[in-house]
Amino acid sequence: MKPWATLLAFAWCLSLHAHIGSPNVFLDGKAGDYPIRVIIRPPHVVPGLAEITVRVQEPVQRVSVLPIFWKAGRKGAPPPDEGQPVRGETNVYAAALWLMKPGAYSVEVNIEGSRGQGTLVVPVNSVATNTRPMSRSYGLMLSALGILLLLGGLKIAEAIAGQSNLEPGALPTPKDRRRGRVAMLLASAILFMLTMVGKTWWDIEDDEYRNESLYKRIPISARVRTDHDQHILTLQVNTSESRGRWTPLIPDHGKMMHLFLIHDGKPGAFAHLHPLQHDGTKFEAPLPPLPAGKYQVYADVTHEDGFSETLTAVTEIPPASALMKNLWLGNSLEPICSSDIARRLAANLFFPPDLDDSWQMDRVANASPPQKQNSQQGTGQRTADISGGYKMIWENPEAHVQNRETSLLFKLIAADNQPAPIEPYMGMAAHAVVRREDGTVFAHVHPSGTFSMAAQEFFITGKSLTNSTLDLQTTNSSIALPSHISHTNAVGFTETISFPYAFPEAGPYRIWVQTKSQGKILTAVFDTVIAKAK
Amino acid sequence: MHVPSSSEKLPPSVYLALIGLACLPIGLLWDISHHSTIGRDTFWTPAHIIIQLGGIVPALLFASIALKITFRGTQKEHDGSVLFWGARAPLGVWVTIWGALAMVTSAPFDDWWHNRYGLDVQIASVPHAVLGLGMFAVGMGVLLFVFSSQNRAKTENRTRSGLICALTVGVLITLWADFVTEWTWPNLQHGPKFYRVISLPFPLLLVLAARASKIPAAATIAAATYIFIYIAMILVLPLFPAQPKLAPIYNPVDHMLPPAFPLLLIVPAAAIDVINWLFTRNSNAANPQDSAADISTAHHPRWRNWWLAFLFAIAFLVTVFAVQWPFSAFLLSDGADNRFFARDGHWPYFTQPGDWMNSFWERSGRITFAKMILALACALISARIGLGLGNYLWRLKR
Repeated sequence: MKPWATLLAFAWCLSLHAHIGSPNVFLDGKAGDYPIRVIIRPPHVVPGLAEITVRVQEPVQRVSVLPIFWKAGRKGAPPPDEGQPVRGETNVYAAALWLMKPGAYSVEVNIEGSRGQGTLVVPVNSVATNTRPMSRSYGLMLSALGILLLLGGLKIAEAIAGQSNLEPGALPTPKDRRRGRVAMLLASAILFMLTMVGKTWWDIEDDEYRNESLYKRIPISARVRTDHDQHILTLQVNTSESRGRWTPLIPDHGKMMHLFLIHDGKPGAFAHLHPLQHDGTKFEAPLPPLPAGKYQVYADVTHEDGFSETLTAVTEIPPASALMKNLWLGNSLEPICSSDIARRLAANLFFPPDLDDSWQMDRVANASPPQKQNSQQGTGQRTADISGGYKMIWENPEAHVQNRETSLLFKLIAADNQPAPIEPYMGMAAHAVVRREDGTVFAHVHPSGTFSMAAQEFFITGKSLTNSTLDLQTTNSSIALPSHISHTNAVGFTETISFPYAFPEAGPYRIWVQTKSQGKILTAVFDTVIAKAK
Repeated sequence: MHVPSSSEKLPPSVYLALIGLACLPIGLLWDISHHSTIGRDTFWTPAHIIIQLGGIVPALLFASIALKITFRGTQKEHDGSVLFWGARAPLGVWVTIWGALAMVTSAPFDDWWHNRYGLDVQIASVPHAVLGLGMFAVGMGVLLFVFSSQNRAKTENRTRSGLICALTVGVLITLWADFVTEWTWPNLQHGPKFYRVISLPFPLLLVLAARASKIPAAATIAAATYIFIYIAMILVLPLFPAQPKLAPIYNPVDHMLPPAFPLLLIVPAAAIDVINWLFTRNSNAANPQDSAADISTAHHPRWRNWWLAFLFAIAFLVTVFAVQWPFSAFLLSDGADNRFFARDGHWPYFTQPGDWMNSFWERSGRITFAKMILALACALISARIGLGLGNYLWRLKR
């Protein structure tokens, strides 16, 4: 492998945690009666300082934030920190919190105002990801100081042996000078030895950091086998290399794993599947007839302690049989995904798909990338055609810059050119997957934000509604479950779907936006290029 | 023979430098307590400011001396100084300035370390070692300055300068005790590593005090200084209410935590003083005025220093073992569960309370003959360096 490719692969591995290369947490929600947006920028090292920004929509009296470590619960939490108004901004508050341990934290954001008090819980992962070497200027400064110290040390040794014992006023003899030079030689040997000891110590600390503290994804293997003419993807977690971090999972909006398959070739393809878990470490999902080729595999899971992460692998999918294409697609040229179709498939397939599985392929007719397919409108909007005559409009495709907090705004239009009714898709109005073309950024985003809802549920209730064997020490019973967790929200007609996000890197991205309307799961694809922050 | 003038009396800056130096271990103890109690800190906490003062005060004082001697110094001041890159000042001045520079260097290094590896919650790290080296050099510089002044001073002043020397060594012992805190908890004092760790710095410093200071019981005074500072911190720190400001909190505390009870180094120090007195009284009596006399080598073969170091090392290790073995058991018992001995009161907010606090730890290993021989070897080398330094300080003129 070429050196740059090794570096890229290494950087890619290290930037993983919940999502890939996109560690910041965005949450749009309500603290009591106050709609707020919370942004948490976790530190790159642990212990480290997390930056918290709270944007409220109306003037309030007080904003406070409280970090809670999963193992210690509220009982082990310090007094909350006051959010300070951000200068030059209106109704924006900032705070900084130390995350002292690696693992799952929650940040309780408390708002006090004229309409009483409200609290919102934001889960956040605390992991060390920093592998940045010392900057050149910093290295030069420290080297200069180090050299000055070394030279000073040698001169002191010379003064000790050659001058310090002389009677006041006496001049050093050649013998004294020689003794001084010998002392300098001896001191240089000692200082060299001390420097080597220091370097060895540093190397040991660095190795320990890389091997013990630095976050590394739990390795998984992905393999496709064919059974009864059906391609079945098997994911196996390699627990022997997980450093004991593979713990039981809890379901995130009803699924133990959200699996995304992404094919970069032509035609591009995408699948959002929900594998079945076997024996704790093995997951299996039946594959739709995706185009053959190499696929990037992204598996979002949440552990029972509230820690969420994205596991990755690469797999090769062989061509699907004509029988399978016929079963899944029928006469359609493009995938149609719905619970009804999944039920119908279940009757004919050896391994039935999950009712919420969905997939998408670029249109073979022109095999052009979506940016070509997206039609640009005069208003700066961009439209993507979806199966069944639906269209998805991206209302603000132009205004996005690296690291600038934004809302990605989309609108679903039915075949009659009217806003389409939107139904909950796994409890959410929509799901978006954001991926940088080179795979260094991957995020699974919801209108409520980029966090794991299962983790939020764990921190609010003290126990996952299902599966978890853990209990938080003390929970805050006054905090109600947000509607997106209770899975009871009827979404109905929605004018605009909004995803809070900030693209962490400049460059070309692809965004898949998934919604559900009239029983059909619809996937729209957009390509965009994010400008570098100035 | 050089007759010292009144200008060669101990300069007042020595007292100020010693007070500044004492800020280092006191600030460190405060800082450790801050990290154990509150957790969150900034550059401007009182503990950090006191530590910085410990470097800044001696360094600025000595830098002003260097400037004065270099540019406006008298002939006598020039005569009593060493030449350093064209500038002139006594050796101790340069060592202290070097130490302050090392402390300054450690600050950006430590900052980078925190950003690269995370905020360290332990004392032992590479940047902290640079800081520690700097602090130790600042202290050694003060010691050298005191001795060069002492060795040029009148005989009647030597008691005072000897006392300052003992106090300075006491501050350095306290500094070292701070550095080795993580290896000297009472819970580790039945293990071999504890004896190995304390055999590295303390014989050196105690022997140095005993040999260099021209007052009796100098090592005992130095050890008493260390114990006094620690006990004062044990009694004073908990008077201040405080609470943790970082999560997770497993051990809720409501006041500043004291350090663990100090080692009873006063016992090995007394043994070292007695041995020193027994083996050097004749040399002192034979040559009481000659400050340049190397009392251990002037009348005896060189190997005698090794025998003496061996005696110091044996005395140190045997007395420490005899005292700390039962005393550590007491410190972990109910009898020590009070404000004075602070049995388990020093454990930080982020530790899970449990029986481990008041028991000896398995991981400290078992005492074996071979491991104690290794500790003795450490003590021997340490004592021999202390002896060499002590003898050197006697000869120091500039």
